[in-house]
Amino acid sequence: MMLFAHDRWWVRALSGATLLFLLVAVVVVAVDLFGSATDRRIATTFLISLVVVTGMQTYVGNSGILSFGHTGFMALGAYGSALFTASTTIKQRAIPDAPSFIVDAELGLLPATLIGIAVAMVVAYAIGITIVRLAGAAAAVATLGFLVVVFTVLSNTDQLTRGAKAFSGIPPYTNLYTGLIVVAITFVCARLLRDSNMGLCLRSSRDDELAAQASGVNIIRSRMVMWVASAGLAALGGALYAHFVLAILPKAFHFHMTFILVTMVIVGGQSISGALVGTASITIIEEFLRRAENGFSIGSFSLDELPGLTTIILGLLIILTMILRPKGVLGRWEIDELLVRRFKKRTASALPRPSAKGAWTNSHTIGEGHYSAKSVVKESNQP
Amino acid sequence: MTSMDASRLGVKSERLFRSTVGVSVVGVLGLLASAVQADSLPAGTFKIGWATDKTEYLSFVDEPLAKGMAVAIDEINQAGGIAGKLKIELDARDMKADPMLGGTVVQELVAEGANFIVTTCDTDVSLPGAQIAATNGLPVMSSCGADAAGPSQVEGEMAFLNVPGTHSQGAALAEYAYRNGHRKAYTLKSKDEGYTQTLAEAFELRFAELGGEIVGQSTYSIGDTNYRVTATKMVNSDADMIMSNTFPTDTNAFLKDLERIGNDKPLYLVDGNDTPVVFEAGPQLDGAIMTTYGGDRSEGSPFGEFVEAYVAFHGNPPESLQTALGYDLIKVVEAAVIAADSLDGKAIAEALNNLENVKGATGIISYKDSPVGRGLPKKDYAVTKFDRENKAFIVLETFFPEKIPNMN
Repeated sequence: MMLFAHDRWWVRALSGATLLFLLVAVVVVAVDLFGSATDRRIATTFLISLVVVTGMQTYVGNSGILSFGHTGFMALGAYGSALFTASTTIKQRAIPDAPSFIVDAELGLLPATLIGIAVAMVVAYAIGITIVRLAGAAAAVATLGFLVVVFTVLSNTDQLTRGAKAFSGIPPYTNLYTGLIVVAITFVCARLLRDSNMGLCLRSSRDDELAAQASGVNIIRSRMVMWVASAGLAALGGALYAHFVLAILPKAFHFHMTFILVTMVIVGGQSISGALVGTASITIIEEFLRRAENGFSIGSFSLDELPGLTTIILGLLIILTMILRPKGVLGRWEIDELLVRRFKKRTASALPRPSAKGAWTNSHTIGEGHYSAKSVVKESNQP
Repeated sequence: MTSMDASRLGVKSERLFRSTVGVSVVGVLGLLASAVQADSLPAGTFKIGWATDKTEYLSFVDEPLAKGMAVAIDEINQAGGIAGKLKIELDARDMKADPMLGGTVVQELVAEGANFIVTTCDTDVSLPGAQIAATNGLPVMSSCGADAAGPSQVEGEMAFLNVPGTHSQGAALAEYAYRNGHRKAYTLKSKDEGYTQTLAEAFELRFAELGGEIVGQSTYSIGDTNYRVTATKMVNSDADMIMSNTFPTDTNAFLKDLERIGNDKPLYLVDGNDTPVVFEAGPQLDGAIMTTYGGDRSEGSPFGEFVEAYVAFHGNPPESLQTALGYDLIKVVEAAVIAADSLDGKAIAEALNNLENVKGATGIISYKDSPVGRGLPKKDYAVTKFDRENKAFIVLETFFPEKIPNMN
């Protein structure tokens, strides 16, 4: 508990990330030990989604601006990693007209993934010059436009991607444990970004843009950093995806996937913990509904096939979330922050009331949940 | 009649008698052999697991396929099952045209004890699931996916298509067009799907190889409703024919726009239009032909028998060609299991690779030494014209292309 309320922001961030990772790891190891091959596959799918949703949340959660474009970054990461890890024999057959530095390359997972991430981040920076200046619906629509552009480009660059056809022969690197490692990296990056000065600035602009600007927060710069970083994390998830399904095609990274990922983001909330809650709950609900769609019987009660049930329920879930909890299940809170808050409430009721002076300490800010511009400035002075 | 004529006739009769007896003996031996061969098959259930699309954009083809499969399964099970003792059970689960979910569904079907895997009607979307099936030692077939490169992308010679593929159909269309005097073609294709792209590309390659010229190429997006610019370009070009890789409802919109502009160039269409919906496209169909499967559709023909069985089972005539392809798929699986005389996946895949002359609704199907490539069936194409009044397809010719272009 001490680590969650530590004076140093990065200790809090890392301990929060560790808590989230441990929660995921326990479940994943349990699935590996006691689950079936199908369960392991579903768990791996969950880890891939978790990486991408956490990446999305890094921008969406901190800025309060919804993005439909992260599936596009995921696609860039997937193609980047796939093209550089696939064997030259496969590429000579599938994309013989691609540039020789791609056809002749046969890199390992790490360098190839880094290339995919770099491509996504460069593209994110290029389009970010415009997108981060937009807010609200305009920004969301612009990201949707980006998704369509990526889909169209990938579908039409036959020499590089095989166009609308699948690019296969991707080495199978993704399993439960590579997934876990990538989730750990993602959590650490996402929490460090969120709790950093930059993250606090962006969150302050999410809560009150004018007040943040008046307090000297450079909103455009904060958004740009988070936008580019979140694109990199989504691309990392894309690489994980490519080495899991082993055959990728542009239409896999289109509206259906975007719908699922955005649902996870909306339902979860605006924090990294929200990404975990959203991804876990939607994965479970989706799995349950998918099985129900095929029809089932319990005792004398039987139900015929119900195709489309999943999409309907997920759509309703978005509507319900918007009505009942517009900021998602966890809102802006991280699980560790909620624990500290709960702990402080409990101890506060047992101890004499502290003085109101010097109230802008880190732990107080977290405990009370106030992120005013003033608190951000104070936070930035923390080591 | 001279004595020489009589003696010649005698010799001919003797030869006819001998050959008839010979053929009969071979036939009886063949039947006996298949009966004996299937002796090792255990009685029970043969489970076909199908990662199908019930809700997304491929459901419009997978759903009629399911109806055709149901007819074949009922027919086989009524006769006691495969080899008279192995009842077929179809376990179809929705994979929502999502490649990753397709893999999960196939994994699930494998765990549920499937003996054979069928994937959805898109070779590319099918790949993750097909790879999992092959890894688990199960043969896998796309319900009607047509990318000829599909089977070679799955290791172990375990993957198959249910149709000869886009390359051969494009070649067939080109050969027919060239044979009918066309020398300048304008093509319409879409990069949204492998099917709507590679078929037209195969046509272009083969047509050019034969000496024809592609004078114009246009692209469309699936779901487009306005083709006026494309139609105008086509009509104003010096092409003597138009080849379109569209299927309904795109075909209908495209043909309506051609009609508005007053097109009189003949149209060459593809098998995706083998559905009654296409008749809503209007008068432009009068000058159109289409390549499809199931040449002879008269009463008593295999296709006619299928239609009869379909009506008896479902109470209405088949709504599209895909129903017949579904029927074919089950008949091919049945033949492969009998030939393999085993439930072992690899044995079934090997038997399927060597399958010859299976009687399907759409014609005779052979996988052995297929000129299209391993895993793709050789099946004659039918060239049909459109009888708008009776909403029927009139077969003009059945054939298989002489040469298939080499494409990646």
